[in-house]
Amino acid sequence: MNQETTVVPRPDRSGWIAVAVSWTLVGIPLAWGIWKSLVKAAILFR
Amino acid sequence: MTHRGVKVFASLAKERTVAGPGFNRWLVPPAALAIHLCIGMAYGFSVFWLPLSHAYGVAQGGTEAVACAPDLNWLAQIIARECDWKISTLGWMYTLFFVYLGSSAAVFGHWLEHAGPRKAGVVAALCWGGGLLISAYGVYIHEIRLLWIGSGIIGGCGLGLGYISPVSTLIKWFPDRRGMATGMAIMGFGGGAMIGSPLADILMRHFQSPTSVGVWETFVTMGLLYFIAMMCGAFGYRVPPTGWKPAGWEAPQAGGGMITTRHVHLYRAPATPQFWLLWGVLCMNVSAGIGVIGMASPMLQEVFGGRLIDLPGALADLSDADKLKIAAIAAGFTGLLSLLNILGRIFWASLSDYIGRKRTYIIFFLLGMILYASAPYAGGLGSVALFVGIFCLILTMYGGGFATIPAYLADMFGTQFVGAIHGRLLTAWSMAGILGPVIVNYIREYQIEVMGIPAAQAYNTTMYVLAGLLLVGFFCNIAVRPVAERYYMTDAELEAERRLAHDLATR
Repeated sequence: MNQETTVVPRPDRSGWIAVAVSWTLVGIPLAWGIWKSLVKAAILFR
Repeated sequence: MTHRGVKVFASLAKERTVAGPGFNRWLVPPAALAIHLCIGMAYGFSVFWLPLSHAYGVAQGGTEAVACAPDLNWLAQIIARECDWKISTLGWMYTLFFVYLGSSAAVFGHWLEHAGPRKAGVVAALCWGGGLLISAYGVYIHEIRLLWIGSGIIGGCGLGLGYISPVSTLIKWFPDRRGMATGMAIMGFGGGAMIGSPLADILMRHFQSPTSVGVWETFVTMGLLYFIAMMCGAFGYRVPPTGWKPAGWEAPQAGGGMITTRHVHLYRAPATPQFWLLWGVLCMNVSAGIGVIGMASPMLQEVFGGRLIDLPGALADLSDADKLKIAAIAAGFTGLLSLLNILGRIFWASLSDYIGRKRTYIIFFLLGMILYASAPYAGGLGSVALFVGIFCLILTMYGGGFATIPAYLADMFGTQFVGAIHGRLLTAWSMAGILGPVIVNYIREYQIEVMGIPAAQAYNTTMYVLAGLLLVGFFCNIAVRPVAERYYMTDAELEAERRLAHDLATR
C-alpha cells in the first residue's frame, strides 16, 4: 500500500490577512464582470 | 545569466514552492483564480471580430471594410495584406485555441507534475501574454498569420498549461473538499470573458482613432495586464509537503472504493477502462453543452419572435428596429447563460464533495436529458420564463461537468498524477468542440434545406439528439467502477516517482 506521511502545520492567524487581500484582488474584477453581465441580462426581465 | 536572473529562475523550482508550516491553504485558490480569469478571455475573443473585420479599411482613412478581390482563393486571402479579414477567417482562432489547449495540456501534463505549478504558471503567462503581444503586432502590420501563431498557437499552449497548472496542487491542499477547490479555479476560466470582454470594449473605445479601430493597442494593454496578473498567480502557488493533510481530517475509508488513497501512473491511466469512460462522460456532457450554447440565442429569437417585445408575428416579419430590440434581449440571455455557467462550476463541484462524483454526473445526465427534451415543449407553450429557466439550469450543469471532473479523476486515480491525467482527458474537450457544433449545424441544415421544416421548429430534433448524447454519457458514468489493483503504483514506484517530482525534498 502507498502510505502517506502526515505533516500538520501550525495554524498561522496572520495568514488570514493575506487571504483576505488575495481574495479581494481577484474578487473585485470578478464582481465587476458579474455586475456587467447582470446589467446586460436585466433587459430580459423588463 | 545574471546573478539576479539565476535567483529568479531558481525560485521557480518545485522544491522552492513548498509551503512552510504556517501557510494558509486558502491562499492557493485566489492564485489559481488569477490565472484562470486571465486565460478565460479566450471565450471572449469574439468581441474583437467586428472591429478587426474593417481594421484595414479604417487604417486607410475610410469607415468601411475593404473586401478582397473576388478572384482570390482562401489561401490567397490569408496572405493578402491589402484587404480586410472576414469574420469566418478570424473565427479560426477558436479552433486553434481549443485544439492547442487540449494538446498542450495532454503533452505537457507530465512535465508539469515534475516541474511544479509555479514554473507551469510562468510559462503560461509568457505564452498567453506574449501571444497577445505577437497578435498586436499582427494587427498592426495587418498579418493574420501572426494572430493565429501568437494568440492561437502560442496563446493556446498557454491556455492548456494555465488551465491544468493548479489542479494537482489544489487537490493536494484540499483533500477534504476536492470538488470545491478545483471548482473555484475552473470557475475563473468561465468568468474570464465576463471581465475581459467589457474591458476590451472599454479599451477599444479609448484607443480608437480615425485611422485605428484600437485593437492592437488593446491587445498590448491586455497582454501586459494578463502577464502581470498571471505572474502574481504563479508566484502565489505553493505546494503542500508530501502527505500533508488538514488538521483533524482523516481520509474516508467508506465510499464503496470510489475514492482511492493510492495512485495510478500517468502512463497506466489510459490503459484503464475508467479513463476512457470518464473521457466519454466529459466529451458527451461538453458536446451537448456546446451544442446548446450555440443554439440558445437564435432559438430564443426564432421560437418566440415578436412575443419577446409584446408584438405579434415571427422574427422574419419584424422591422429592423424591432429585430435590434430582440437582438439586445438575446445578448442579455447569452450574458445570463455565461453567469449561470460559472455559478454552476462552483455549485455542482462543491456539492459533489457531499453526494459523490458519480451521483453528481448521474444528476447532470438524467436531469439534463429531461431538460433538453423539455425545451421544445417550453417553446411550444410560449413560456419565455420556463424556456430561459431550462437553459439556465442546463448551463449550470455544463459548467459543473468541467469543474467536477478533476475531483472525479483524483478519486479514481489518486493525486500523484491527477494534473497530468486531467490534461490528457481534456482531449475530450477538443473532440467535443468539433462534435457539438457539427451535430447542431448539420441537423439544422438538413431539416431546413432537405426536409423543408420551418426555422423555428428545426431546433426540436437537435435538442432530442443532444439529449441522446447525454444518454451515452449516462451509461459511461454508470459503468465507472474502482480501478483494478494491477494498475496502481507500488510503494517503490511511488517513491521513485516522488523523487523525480522533487516531492521527497519536502520531507
